[in-house]
Amino acid sequence: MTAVIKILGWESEGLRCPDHEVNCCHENGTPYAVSLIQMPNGTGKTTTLTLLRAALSGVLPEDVHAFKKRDFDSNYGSFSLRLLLNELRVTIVMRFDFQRGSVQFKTTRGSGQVEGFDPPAEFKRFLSAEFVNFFVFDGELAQHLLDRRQVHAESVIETLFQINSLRMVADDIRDYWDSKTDRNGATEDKALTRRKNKVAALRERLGQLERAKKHALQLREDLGAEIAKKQQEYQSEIGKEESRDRELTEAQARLDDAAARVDELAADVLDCMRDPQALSSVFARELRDLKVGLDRVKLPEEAAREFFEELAGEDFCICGRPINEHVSVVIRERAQQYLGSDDVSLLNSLKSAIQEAIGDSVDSASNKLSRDNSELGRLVAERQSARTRLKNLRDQASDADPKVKDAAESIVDLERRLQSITEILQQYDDKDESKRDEDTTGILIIKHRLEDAERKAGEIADTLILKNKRDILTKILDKAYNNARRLIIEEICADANRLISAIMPHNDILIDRVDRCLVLGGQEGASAGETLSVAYAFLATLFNRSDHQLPFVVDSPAGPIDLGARPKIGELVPRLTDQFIAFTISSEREGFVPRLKSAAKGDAMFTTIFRREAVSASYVPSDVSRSETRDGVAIIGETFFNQFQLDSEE
Amino acid sequence: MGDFRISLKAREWFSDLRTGSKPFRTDFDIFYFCFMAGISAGEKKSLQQSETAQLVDYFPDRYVSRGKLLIGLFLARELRELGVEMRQREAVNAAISSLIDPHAGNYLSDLGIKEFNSYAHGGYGVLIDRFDDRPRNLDMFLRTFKMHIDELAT
Amino acid sequence: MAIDPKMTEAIEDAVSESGQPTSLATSIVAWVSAITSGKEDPHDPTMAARRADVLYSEALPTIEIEGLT
Repeated sequence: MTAVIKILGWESEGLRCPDHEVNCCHENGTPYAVSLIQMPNGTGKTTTLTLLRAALSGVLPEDVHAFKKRDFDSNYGSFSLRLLLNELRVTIVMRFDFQRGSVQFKTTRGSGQVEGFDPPAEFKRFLSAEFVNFFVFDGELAQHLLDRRQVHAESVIETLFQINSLRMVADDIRDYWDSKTDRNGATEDKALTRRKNKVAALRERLGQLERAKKHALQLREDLGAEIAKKQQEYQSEIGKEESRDRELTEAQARLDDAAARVDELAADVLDCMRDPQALSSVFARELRDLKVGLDRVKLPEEAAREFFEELAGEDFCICGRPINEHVSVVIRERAQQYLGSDDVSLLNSLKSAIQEAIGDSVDSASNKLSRDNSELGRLVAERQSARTRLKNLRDQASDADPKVKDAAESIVDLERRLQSITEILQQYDDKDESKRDEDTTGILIIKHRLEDAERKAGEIADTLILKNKRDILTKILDKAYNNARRLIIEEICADANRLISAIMPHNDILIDRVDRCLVLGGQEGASAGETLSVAYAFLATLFNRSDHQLPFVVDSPAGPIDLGARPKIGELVPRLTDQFIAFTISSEREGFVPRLKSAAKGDAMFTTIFRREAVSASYVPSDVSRSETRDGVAIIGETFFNQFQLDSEE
Repeated sequence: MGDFRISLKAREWFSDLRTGSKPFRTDFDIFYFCFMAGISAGEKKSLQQSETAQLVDYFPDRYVSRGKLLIGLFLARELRELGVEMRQREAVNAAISSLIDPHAGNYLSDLGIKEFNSYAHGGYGVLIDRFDDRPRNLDMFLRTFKMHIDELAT
Repeated sequence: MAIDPKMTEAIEDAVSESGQPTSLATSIVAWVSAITSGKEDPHDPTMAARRADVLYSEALPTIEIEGLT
């Protein structure tokens, strides 16, 4: 988000500099493009600048007592700075207590005042002790730009252009991976290998079982076909003799009939046995005894538990007696001995079922079953007899005719083999899940295990791929971060150097690179003026490139600069920023102030501040409007500003 | 909710009656015969869940109408096991109410279904002791089963 | 503040050098732009997860897991 910071003004009281108030705005509240404050040396320019930095960063870099007025015995002081932060008015107040040696910050914004230095969050990166030095500036700080112990120019560039947003994105990429996984890479690789091996083993096993089953099914089909063929051969051989054929047919029919009757009766007997009272009269008797017993002891009760629980809540019993608390408790306790109404209902239906099934006779069902069972035995014997008869006829036929015998024996052998295959096939339907993979023959079980293993392996594989992508992305972001820093700094240096050349065409001085501080190339060493020009050019390039609008507050903006270069600085300065505030002395005006005012299209404010005792009362014309405090005088106006000739109070 | 559970070995033992023409329509037939064998002999056995397979939690198919009788028989046996005589009203009440749950599909509480299943598991043990071979066909099984029940039920 | 053109260039170069698709660079630039313009709080976990989702789905892995298909 674009940050716009404007200084609206400040007020100082009880501090080392003269008590004064500076207003940097027009009457309508909009700041001047240029605010010039002329203060002779010794008036407290440095103090005022330090206070401005402190108020803009929340950090007072010096001992509190250094700000105490010398001439007045005052235990308290205050400095308040009025700001406009993106349309929001914020006031930072510093209250000094010289007795305690402390300073308290307070911040007023919007609805009220809070303790401490608390500007809106989006401005905090600009309003920091490090960053503030780049827009509240003095010649000393210009030197600091060239001293790696003093600045971290790269971090200012990073902050201004938000290059570190690439680092934030990289952190988010890593957090995302953390949230999706909870394992580290080493165990994942091993786990994946294990899982892949399991998947491979299960696939192998499934393949084996499916192939074996397919083979067995084919074998069963082949055997079935062969049996059918052999039976046909057998029938055809055996049927060659007419009377024998007729006998065999009849014997087969009798057997089929006997078998059918056995099956039919067996099904009936099975259904009859599903009645427990038919299975044995002992069970019928037990059921009857249960019902009779329950009746005798009146279970279930006619009244259910719910009746008593409700009664316990009444004032009077159904017999009319009052129910007090003690009685209520007893009723509730004893109610637990009764069955709930649903239990009552179930028991009653149980008794009804018993009554209906058994009635008055405990033996009738079991007697019928016994009769049917005996009949079943008889039919089984009949079937056996029919089977024996058929077998005997067939044996006779086999003995009489070797071909018949061969066919019969083949059929027996094939049927035996078919039975084995059938038993083998059954094992592929095994549902026993307790066996190990290599011992399990159930195909469905192996399939489920394989699906499960594939899913688990897939999860691990996904984790590894995710990790690979994480590494790719963080590497890209890291590279982009380094590239962005390099490209932006290179371009800033190039642009700044063009500006330096324009300001100082005859000086062989350039910014070689930015490495914590500015590293100059070209001539050896640089004068104070050259350093200041380089600093201006660098800062101008920096601030023009970014969309942010920061005020530029400078002490002695042109002092050490050659007269020849001053106009260029004067023209340059309004391009640096929308709000330029400078502390000057009278000797700096030449060559600088007029060009500055013209470059600002006349939108400039002129204030002169000095100590009351610094000039005689007659120095200030009587028609000049002034504001006076106990130890300071402030005069607003260009005319007095240009006439004032006092560089130093000492 | 308590499911009926069948021993895996019992299911395997009866498998011939569950194939081909499938005289045993469902696995509950196997469960029933095991249960009746267990009730007859008064044999209970606990098995691990892994040794059993889950069946339904209600009396299915042809046992819908017989379910309450089986419950009744079960309660009678349990009372006998606990040594509770029918005239001990409170004891009968307490024993029965701990075994039944009128809201369950099979009318049995958690304790009830556990004990009910254990008769079935115990009954399978009785059958394999008494039968020479696993049942290969229905008619042979029915007659042999009836014979053993007649011996066991007292 | 909109994303600096040199930052865009740096991102595009880094993506290209890594052999990743240009759509990835577009998504990274979009994310960084949202942060630098103040439209998005970089510390908002929900938005960060959504953006990260996009980047992860656009990035092409450089490893293959055999034996699972």
